[in-house]
Amino acid sequence: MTRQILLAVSTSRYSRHLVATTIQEALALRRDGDEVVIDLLIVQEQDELDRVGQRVGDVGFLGLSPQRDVLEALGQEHDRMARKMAQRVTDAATAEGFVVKRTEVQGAFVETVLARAQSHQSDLILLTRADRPFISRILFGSEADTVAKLARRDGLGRVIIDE
Amino acid sequence: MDERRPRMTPSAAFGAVMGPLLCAIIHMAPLPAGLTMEGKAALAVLSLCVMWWLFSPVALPVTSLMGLALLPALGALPTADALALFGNPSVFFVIGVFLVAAVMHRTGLSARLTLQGLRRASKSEDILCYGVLGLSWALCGVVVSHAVAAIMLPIVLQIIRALDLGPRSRTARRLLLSMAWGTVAGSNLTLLSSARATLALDLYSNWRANAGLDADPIGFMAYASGAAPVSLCSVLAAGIVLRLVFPPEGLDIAPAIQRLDEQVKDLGAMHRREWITLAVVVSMIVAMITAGPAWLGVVALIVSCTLFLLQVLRWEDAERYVNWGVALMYGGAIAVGGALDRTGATAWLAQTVLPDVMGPWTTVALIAILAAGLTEVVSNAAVIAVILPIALPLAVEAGLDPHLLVWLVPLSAGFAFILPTSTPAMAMVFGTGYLRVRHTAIGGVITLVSWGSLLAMAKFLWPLLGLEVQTGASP
Repeated sequence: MTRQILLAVSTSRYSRHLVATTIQEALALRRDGDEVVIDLLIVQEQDELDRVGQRVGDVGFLGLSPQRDVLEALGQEHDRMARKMAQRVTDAATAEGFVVKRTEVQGAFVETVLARAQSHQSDLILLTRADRPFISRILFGSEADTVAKLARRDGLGRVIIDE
Repeated sequence: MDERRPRMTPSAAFGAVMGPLLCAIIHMAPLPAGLTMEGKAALAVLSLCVMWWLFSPVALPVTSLMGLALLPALGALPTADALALFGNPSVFFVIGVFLVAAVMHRTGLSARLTLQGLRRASKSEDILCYGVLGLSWALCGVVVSHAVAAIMLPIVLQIIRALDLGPRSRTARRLLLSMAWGTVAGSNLTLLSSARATLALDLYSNWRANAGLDADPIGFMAYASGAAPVSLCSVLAAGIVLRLVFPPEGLDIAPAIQRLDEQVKDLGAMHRREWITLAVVVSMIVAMITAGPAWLGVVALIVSCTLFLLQVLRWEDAERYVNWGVALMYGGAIAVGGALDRTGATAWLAQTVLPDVMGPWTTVALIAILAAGLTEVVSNAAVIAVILPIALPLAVEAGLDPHLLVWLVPLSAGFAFILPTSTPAMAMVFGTGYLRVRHTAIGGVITLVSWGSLLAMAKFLWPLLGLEVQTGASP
């Protein structure tokens, strides 16, 4: 039986530990006799870039041209980081003989991950938290927790949040 | 450019509800002894502005406009008086400051100065990082700090790409923080570095006028001579902290040098419009130093018009490089601050709500801590608009020369070294994905050093400039 592991990362949600955990989970599934495919989903969080643009415009009072320059520079850097992350995951996974399917999507993290889990019938969703001040997480919740809650509600597979 | 705005976050939704709720509660509460009805209405308006500036359910200028509209609507001031507060000289000075930043960006002069400066600093990894820090800081002397950050970020990211640095690279983090902390420290250099000092000067002069005191004009050089030494201490502290926390990785920086060389070569010889811009900006600074405080706004406007006349700036550029909400934000903030003074709300707050046992130095520390704390989560212009009108009568109560607050509040509000919410520069470097709050928390050390230097300057240097921190000082 083929098992799908959805590894969801973004520029602000990536760690080497998450990759190691993914490989461990994949090895555990393989020990049970299953074939494992790692579905690497790289989310380009547009909301995050929009927030930076908003601060440059609304707080820094710079016009659309400087905002565009800043967002273009950040977008290029995010693309480069995504390529680096994908390479690391691919290297670690192929070293253990796993197949990695890589997809880059632009959008909101929660919606993108849930849509992917649903369309690919993921058995396991792995993600990590974005770094935010603790008080903000307590007051306004965590997107990683939202993914876990909604995935449970919709029966989308087990979710592991790598802390 | 995508015009789509991010959806409202839970914190913004919280602020959207809490602002009007708090405003209504204060407005309907019984009148406390010593406070006028108008003063209570002004405090109700302030409460809404604070909640909206803090949680940003709408853009900052919209909050200022709402404050301006609510002043007459809730009975704090007659309509004509409230709207008259909006049109003050500082707004025009701020417009001039942003137009100068626009022309420096548009003509490529600031990018040229940065690239050539960095090329000269490319002797080693360590010196390159110091170069980014120093240039980011120094450029803020003539260009508003947010614009410097917007100019520097693509250049720093190109260096990072040329060196093929990964997300965990110490050097990448150091380069990015050198840019951000350089502009944060540089935002305290002169009146051209940020608009908040101008806002402080205007709130101060309004307060003196409302209190029936003689005018106390503070000029370009007077402000810079008090502020620049503190800014210098901040940037030196930033350099030391960055060197200690992110020591060099021993990288070969040849690819970065090659990239900088290519970019400098692409720029070619200095264009005629860059020379004109340089000449106009230098003339502007000379004029601001010599013309006196009352003429700052006029000089800024004449210089701006000259840039259009000389064809180095077109109106389309002004629209593309400046967010004109800046005029609404500052005009509205000055109006709300002015209303608090005129209605006696801030004097009542200082006399009744705040502790009356504080000595001058405790007051200085309290105001500095409050401003530096708030600036991590709120626009620093909003910090000035909220704190300064209250701090001025509080200073008088504590026997402190209120003149000092013109430096104390905007400088403290500029110590924003930690959170991505603090300034656009910090938001930009957090947006790269290289940095987490745990990396920038060390910025607290720079804040402490900056505070220390601010207090030391107030104690030892400022008296030499005629600024005494003393009990019983007359306003």
